[in-house]
Amino acid sequence: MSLAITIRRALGERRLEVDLEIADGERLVVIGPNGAGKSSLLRSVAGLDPIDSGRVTFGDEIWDDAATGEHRPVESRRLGVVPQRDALLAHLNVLDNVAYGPRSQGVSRREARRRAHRELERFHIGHLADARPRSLSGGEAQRVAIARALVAEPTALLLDEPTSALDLAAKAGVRALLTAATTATARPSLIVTHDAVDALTLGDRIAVLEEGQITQIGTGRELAAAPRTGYVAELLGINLIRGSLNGSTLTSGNFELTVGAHDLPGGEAIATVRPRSISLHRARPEGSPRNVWQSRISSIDRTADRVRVRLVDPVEIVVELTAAGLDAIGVGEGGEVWASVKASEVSVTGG
Amino acid sequence: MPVVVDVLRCRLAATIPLCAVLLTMGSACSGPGAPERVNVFAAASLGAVMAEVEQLYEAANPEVDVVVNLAGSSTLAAQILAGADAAVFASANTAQMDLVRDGLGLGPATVFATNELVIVVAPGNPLEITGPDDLSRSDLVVALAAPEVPAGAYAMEMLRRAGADVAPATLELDVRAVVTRVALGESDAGVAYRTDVIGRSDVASVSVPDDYQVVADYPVLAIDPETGGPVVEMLTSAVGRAALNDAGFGVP
Amino acid sequence: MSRRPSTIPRLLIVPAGLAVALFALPILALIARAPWGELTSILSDDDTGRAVGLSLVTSLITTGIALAIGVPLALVLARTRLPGRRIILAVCTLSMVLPPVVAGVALLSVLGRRAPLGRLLDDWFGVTVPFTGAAVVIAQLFVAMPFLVITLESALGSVDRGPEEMARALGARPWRVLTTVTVPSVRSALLAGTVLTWARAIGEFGATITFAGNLPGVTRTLPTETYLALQNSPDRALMLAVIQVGVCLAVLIALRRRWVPAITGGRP
Repeated sequence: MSLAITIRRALGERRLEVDLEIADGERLVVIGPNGAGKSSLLRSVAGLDPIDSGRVTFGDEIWDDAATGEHRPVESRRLGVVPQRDALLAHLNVLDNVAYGPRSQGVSRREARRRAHRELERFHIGHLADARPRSLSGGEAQRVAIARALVAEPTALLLDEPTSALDLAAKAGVRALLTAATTATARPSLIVTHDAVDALTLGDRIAVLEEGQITQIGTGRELAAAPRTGYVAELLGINLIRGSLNGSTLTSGNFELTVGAHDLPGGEAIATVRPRSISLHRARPEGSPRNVWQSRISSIDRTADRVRVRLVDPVEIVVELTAAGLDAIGVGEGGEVWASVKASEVSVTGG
Repeated sequence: MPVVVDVLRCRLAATIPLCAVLLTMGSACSGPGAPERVNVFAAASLGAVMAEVEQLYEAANPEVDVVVNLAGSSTLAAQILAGADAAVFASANTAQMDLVRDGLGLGPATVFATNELVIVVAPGNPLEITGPDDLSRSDLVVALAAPEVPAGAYAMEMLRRAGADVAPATLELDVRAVVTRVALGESDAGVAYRTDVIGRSDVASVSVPDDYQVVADYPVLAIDPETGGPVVEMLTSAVGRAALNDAGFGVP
Repeated sequence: MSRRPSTIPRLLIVPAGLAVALFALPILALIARAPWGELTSILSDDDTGRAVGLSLVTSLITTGIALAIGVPLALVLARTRLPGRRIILAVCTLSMVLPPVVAGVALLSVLGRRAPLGRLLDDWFGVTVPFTGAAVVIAQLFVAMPFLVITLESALGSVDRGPEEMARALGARPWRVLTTVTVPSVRSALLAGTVLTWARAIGEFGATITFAGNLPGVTRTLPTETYLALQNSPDRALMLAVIQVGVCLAVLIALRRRWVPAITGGRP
């Protein structure tokens, strides 16, 4: 069933005005700068904060309807919630934390623990069952929190900055876990984040929230290709290249990229490159850049004085440059260009 | 301690320079202009009488400041034995006076007042209590003073003499609390001193027959004969006796 | 054992030491002056037994009732947007600053035989409260329960609400949130408040003597017994005082063992 959100509420001197619909099995990421109203949105969807007007419905269940005053309290929404940090109850061990949801819904202690065990095993953290939350690493705690959110077969998943409190290596693991846990299920997921990599890796669609308003919504590719605001361009316009990392070389199909310094062990990884870091040339450039390749322009998107150029073959990548810069190269859509980027401008994160 | 006190105490005759020196030493000093302080330690029941004696004495002796310290006799005795600077001790019973006399090695005290027991009842005596026998009635809530304090011991003795088997609801820690209980209506009757009820409109009193009466003796002693003696004299003089009578005390 | 370097001015040791002396010296003097030879005879004497028994029973009942009604009060004050909750909190803790004797008079003004509520109880049920064990408990509650309420209310006000919301999101109903999250999160404050309340109750004197009176075995608690002993057998009073110090120390030390785990979450 889909989650339909129409929320209007005062947020200090601003207003939160959000209309979203999350389809069955869809992962919708809401991304925005600090103070944009992301957490308030999530709290209202959960039913923790009241709304001034609007409706929140899940299928034909009405969760909130400001017009009629109808309100389903949070404990009756059967949600799976993963907060940013400190999700676990400190005085319970991991197993009882995961069993807490089923217990709260009236399942016997024995059965709740059995289900909790199964869920922990599913995420390969069964060995943590007897541990106390404070003895866990950030990544472990977040895995447990995800297991706990999923164990009771929730109607919908609400994730609040699920990786932002974690270090780089742990981020990758939690992202992979979330991807696995939310793929091939019928439940809608709402993920709030300010991390572009989270948004691009986890979101089927991305909604951009700025100052309480949704400024743009679409797939990551759509947003990267045609960002409507400076924030989107700056944050989401980054290029992600998935591949396998070996030392300082990331291989994606027949494309090889030399990356900057990192401390990842290798294997699956994501390289990120800012569109402004890439230069375009009519002929093969001479000199220092380690990464030079020939490519074809598939589209050109002009906004004011900046131009975003989409390259395809051997790799999809967006380049941003000035209109004068593009004119100087003198190549149009469908034409061949040379692209270059310094290794130090290519960063990698775990995949 | 007494030696030190004598040395430091600045009398009228003392020279001004000496006074100045003592003042700079931070010592209490009653030089010319500052009246001499005479501390009178008196049983709480003597409050009204002592206030009047203080006024009269200070009027006749302007150079003297009488300071009255009111408390239970046993408390006062303990304070004096611990070294408190008392010129006069007026006790509500001989036992505490004897403790002080033995402790400080002083001569005999003078009984200057007596106090008799009364039955305290509500104004108008609605429950028609006529004597000690009635206090054993089961419909009455009776308050007595605890036997550990003098008024309580006297009341027990009086009831024993009257043959009254009384089951009190409470044993108050001081005799005035007995009167308060009756005044507030928490108790129907109690036993207290005549001086505790005289002049009060919120309680009435029923006399105890002479056969059962237990009279409390109030002894007084000048612990410092020089400063305290004249106060004791006034207390036992005609004016003192008049003040005692007004307050409901008997005088020997 | 490594200690963090001290970050306070060294001079503070002096006033801090004075404060310690203020508390420690009277207790030490009491223990030194007590006639230990009479300990067994005083302990075995009927009056002492009755007073100790009554004090223990009434103070434990008081503590139980304080938990039953004081914890809900603290929760209501800390967790609802009740209008005037500041004023209610002030009223409910005012008795902490009242002279105990005044507290006793205040109770008499409500529950005394001639007082409005007291008269109703008398007329309807034939119950009179003053001079009974119930009056002792009420007097103790009146002066002691604020310690529990104020300790718990401030702990509830400062505790992170995240875990409670998390529990609700997982489907926990209000009672389950209260018992499995809220109460465990303020466990040490609850324990501290309970101990303070009990200690204040067992030491209560002024309100008890004024409201409940004094009768051996019924309303004469250990503090009253001690005060009376002071009238004519000071040695016995000292020994009784030492017994009170001993009982309270024993309870505090016993609880300290449970206290430390409560604060550190089960770690040694």
